[in-house]
Amino acid sequence: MTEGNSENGIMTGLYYEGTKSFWHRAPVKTKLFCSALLLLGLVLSVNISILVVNTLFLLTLAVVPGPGIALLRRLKPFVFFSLFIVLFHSLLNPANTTTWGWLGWEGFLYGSTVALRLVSIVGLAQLFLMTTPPGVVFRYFSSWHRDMGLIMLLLMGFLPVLKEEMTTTMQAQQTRGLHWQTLLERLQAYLTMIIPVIIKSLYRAQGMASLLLLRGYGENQDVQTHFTPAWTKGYYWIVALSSCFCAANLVILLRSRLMH
Amino acid sequence: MLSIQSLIVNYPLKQQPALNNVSLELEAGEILLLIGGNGSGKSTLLHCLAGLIPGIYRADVKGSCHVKGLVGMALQDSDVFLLPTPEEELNFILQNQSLTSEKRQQKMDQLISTFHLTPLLKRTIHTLSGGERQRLALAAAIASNPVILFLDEPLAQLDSSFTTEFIQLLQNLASFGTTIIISTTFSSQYEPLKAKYCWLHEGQIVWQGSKINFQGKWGQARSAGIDVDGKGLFIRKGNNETTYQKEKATGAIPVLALEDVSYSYGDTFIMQEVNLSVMSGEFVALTGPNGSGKSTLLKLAAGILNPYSGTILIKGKNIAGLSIAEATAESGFLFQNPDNQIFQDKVIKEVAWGLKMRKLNQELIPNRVAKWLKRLQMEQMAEEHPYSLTKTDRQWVALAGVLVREPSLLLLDEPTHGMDCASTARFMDVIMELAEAGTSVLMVTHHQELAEHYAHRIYDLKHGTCRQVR
Amino acid sequence: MDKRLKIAIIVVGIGINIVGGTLASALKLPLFLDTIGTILAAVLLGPWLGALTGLLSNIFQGVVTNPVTIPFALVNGAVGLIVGFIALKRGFEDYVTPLLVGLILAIVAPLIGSPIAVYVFGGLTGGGVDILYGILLGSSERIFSSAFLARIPTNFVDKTISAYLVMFIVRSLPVQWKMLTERKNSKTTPVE
Repeated sequence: MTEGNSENGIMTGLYYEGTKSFWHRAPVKTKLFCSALLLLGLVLSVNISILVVNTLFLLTLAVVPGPGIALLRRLKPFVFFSLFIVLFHSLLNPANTTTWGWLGWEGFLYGSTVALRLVSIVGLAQLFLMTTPPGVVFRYFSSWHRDMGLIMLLLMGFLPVLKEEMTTTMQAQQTRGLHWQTLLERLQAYLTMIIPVIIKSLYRAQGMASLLLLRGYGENQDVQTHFTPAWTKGYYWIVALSSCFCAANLVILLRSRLMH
Repeated sequence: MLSIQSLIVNYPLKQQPALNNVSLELEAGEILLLIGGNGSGKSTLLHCLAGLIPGIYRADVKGSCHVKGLVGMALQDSDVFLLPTPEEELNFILQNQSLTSEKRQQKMDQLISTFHLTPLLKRTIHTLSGGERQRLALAAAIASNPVILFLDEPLAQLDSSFTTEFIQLLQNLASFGTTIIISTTFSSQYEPLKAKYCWLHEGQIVWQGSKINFQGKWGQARSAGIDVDGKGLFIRKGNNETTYQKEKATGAIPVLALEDVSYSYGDTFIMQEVNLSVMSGEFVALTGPNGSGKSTLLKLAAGILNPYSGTILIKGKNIAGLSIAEATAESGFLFQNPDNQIFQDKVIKEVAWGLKMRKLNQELIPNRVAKWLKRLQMEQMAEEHPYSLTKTDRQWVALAGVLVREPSLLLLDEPTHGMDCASTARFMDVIMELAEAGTSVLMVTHHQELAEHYAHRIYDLKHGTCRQVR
Repeated sequence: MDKRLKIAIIVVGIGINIVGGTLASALKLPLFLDTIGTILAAVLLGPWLGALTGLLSNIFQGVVTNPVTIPFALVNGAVGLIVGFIALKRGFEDYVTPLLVGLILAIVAPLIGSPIAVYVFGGLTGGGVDILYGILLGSSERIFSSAFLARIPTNFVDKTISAYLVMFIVRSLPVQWKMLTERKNSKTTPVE
C-alpha cells in the first residue's frame, strides 16, 4: 500500500504540483460539481461502444486542461489491473458461449466494460485529487459539516505522529528481542506492536479533546469558514460541458430503454 | 476570579481521592505556584479548573469550583497538538473567536514575535524539538487572550534563553489582570516570579503562603519530592548529597565503542566522525541541546539505525549487519516513553516478556523476574495492570523489563523525563548501584546538573560533533 | 460524553484503521486488519459514530492515497454499525461476542463488498482470493455469488482476529476508559 506523498512531513496526498493547469485553478466547488456530473454520465453509459467514447472524452477532458501526461502515468497500475480483469473474464466468465479456444467473447465484453469504467472512474478521481491538495478538500468538507471536516483535518496532523509512534514501538520491541519469521510469529509481532500504539492513541485522544475544548472548539457554532466564491466567470463553460455530457448519456439510456 | 470550596475528586475505582477537600481563592492578577511531587494531584486540580473533568477525564466531583472568565491552558504533554503546522494550529484558535480578520492577523503577528515562532510556522509540529514545541504550546495557551491561565510544568524542555523572557511575560500578563496558576515540582526555577505558593501533597493542600515563608518548609517539601533549591536531584537514601567517585574506570576493551561514526538523514549529516567509548562499570552521560541527535546516537549504538560510515563495537564485536534483536544481545535499551512498549495485561508478564523473547530457560524466568521486582521495590504491583499505574510507575515497569535481562550495557534515553526529584533520585540510585557492580551505562539527558553530579564522564553533542567535556 | 472527546476518538479510530492495515501488509500477513479502529470506536461510541468512523476512514484514504477505496466505505461503515449494536446489547468483554461479531461480519461484509467489487473490479482483488473466485466461477454459474463466497473465509478470519484484539484492549483499558462504554448511568455530578 502506498502511503500518500508528503513534503516536509505535511501530507500532500495525490496532489500534483508540476503544472498550474486550468483544473488546478478552478474552484473546489466547481471541480466537485463537474466531477459528480461526469461520474453520473459515465455510470449511465448504456453499452460498450458508448462507454469507449465516454472514456476517451473523459480522459481528454482530464488530461488536456489538467495535469497532462502525469495523470496518465498515475493510471498505469490500473491499466494493468484492467487488462488482468479482461483476461480473467475472457477465460472464466460463466456467460461465455462464443469461444475461440480458451477465450470467450461474452466474458471479454464484460471484462472490457468493467475495465473501461474502472479506468474512467480512477481518471476522474485523479483529476480532482491531483489538482486539489487534501487540506483544501477537507476544508471544503468543513463548510458542509464542521465536525466531519475537523475530523479529517485532525487526521492530517495525527497520522504522521501515529506512523512515527508505530516505528518507535517496533524499534522498542525489537530491542527487547522481538523477531518474526513464521506466520504465527508475524501475527504475534503484529499484536505486540499494535496494542501499545492503540492504547497510547486513546490517551492522545483525551489530550486532543482537551485541546479542542481549551481552544474554544464547539463554543460558538456560528463561526464561518470562509471560502472563495464557488461560481466564477471563466468556469461556466466547463459546468455546461459536464452537464451536456451527463444529459447526453441520460437521453441515450432513456431512448434505448424505450425502444426495448 | 477563581474560588474552590472543599473540592473532592475521585477517579473511578481508586481508593484514595485524587483531591481531598481542597479550597483555594485567587484574585485577578495573582500568580499561584502550585507545588507538589508526582501524583500529588496538581494536574487533577488544573484539569478540574479548566473544565476537563468530568467531561473528558472521568471522575466523581464534589464541592464547588467557580472560574469566571475565559480559560487558557498549556497541557503537561506539549507533544499533543491538533493540526499539522504551527501556523494552522494558531489560526485554529483565533478562528474559533469572533474576531475581525485584521484583529486576527494582529494577534497572530504578536504571538509570532513574542514566542519567536517565525522559523517554525510552516514546519510540521511533530518534527519540532521539545523546546520549540513547548514554545508553541505556550503561545497557543495565551492566543485566546484568557483572563485565567493554567500552565502545567511550562518550563520543562524550554531553552534557558527563553525562560527569562517567558517569566517576564507572565509577570506582565499578571499586571494586566490575568490570573495565573503554574504547577511544578521544580519550584526553584520560578524564583524570579512574584507569586503565592501553594503546596499540594497526596491530594491535600498542606501549606499556602508567600515565597519567603516557604523557605521554612524546605526540608519537608524536599522529602515530598519537590526541588526547592535546585539540588533536589542529588539526595541519596537520606544521607543528603552524595558524590560518587569519578575516577575513570579502566578495562582492556570498551563495552561500547563508536569509531568515526557519521550519520546522515537524507542529504543532511546529523553527526560526523563521532568517537565515544564506555568502559566496563562506567557511567557515561551524553548531553546536548534539544534536537542535536542524542537519541539518534543511542539508536546507532543499539543497531536500530545504521551509520553512514564508521564502526560500532559492542564488547569488541562489530554490530553492522545484525538485526536489532541480535545487536542488542548484550545491551538493554530504555526508551523515553514507556507507553511505546507496554502491551501485556500484568506487570509481571510485561517484565518477563523480554526474557521469553530472548529464549531464556523457562524455569529460570519466574525467579529472575521476582528477583528484579524485589530489587526495584515493585513486588506489590506485580499483578496489577500496567495501564492502571501512574506514568512514573510505568517508567519503572519498562526499566524492570530491561534490567531483568541483566545486560552488560544499558542505553537510557532521557529516563527521568517527567519524574519528580524523589523518583529521579531513586532511579539514579538503582543505576549507580548497577554501575558499581560492573554494568556500563550510557545515558542521554538534557539535564546538565544531573549529568555533572552522577556521571563518570560526560560527552556533549552539538552541531553534529561530539566531544568529551569531562 | 463530551462531543470533543467523541471527535477525538473517531480520529484515533480512523488512524488505527490506517496504520493497522499498513502494519499488516508490512509484516506480510495474509489479512487486512484495517477495521480494528472502526470496531474499537463502535464499542466505545456506539453504532452510529462507529459507522461514521468506518465511512470517514475510507473517504480519508480515498482522498489521500487511493480513490478506489471510497466505494468500500459502505462496508467499513456497516462494520461499525453492526459492532456498535452488538456491543450495546452484550458489552464487549466476554469471549463469545468477538466470535459472534466475526461470524456476522464474515457474511455481512462480503454481502455489501462483493457487489461493489463486481461493479468496480469485475469481482477481482488482485490478491490470493482471486484463485478461489476463479474456481468458484468455474463450478457455479453466477458472478455475484462466486465473488461473495470467495470473500467469506478471509473476512471471517480477519474480522474475528480484529474483534478479539479489540476485546483484549477494552478489557485491559483502565477503569477510567471503561466508563465510556457505560453510556447510560454515569454517576458523575457536573461541576457548578
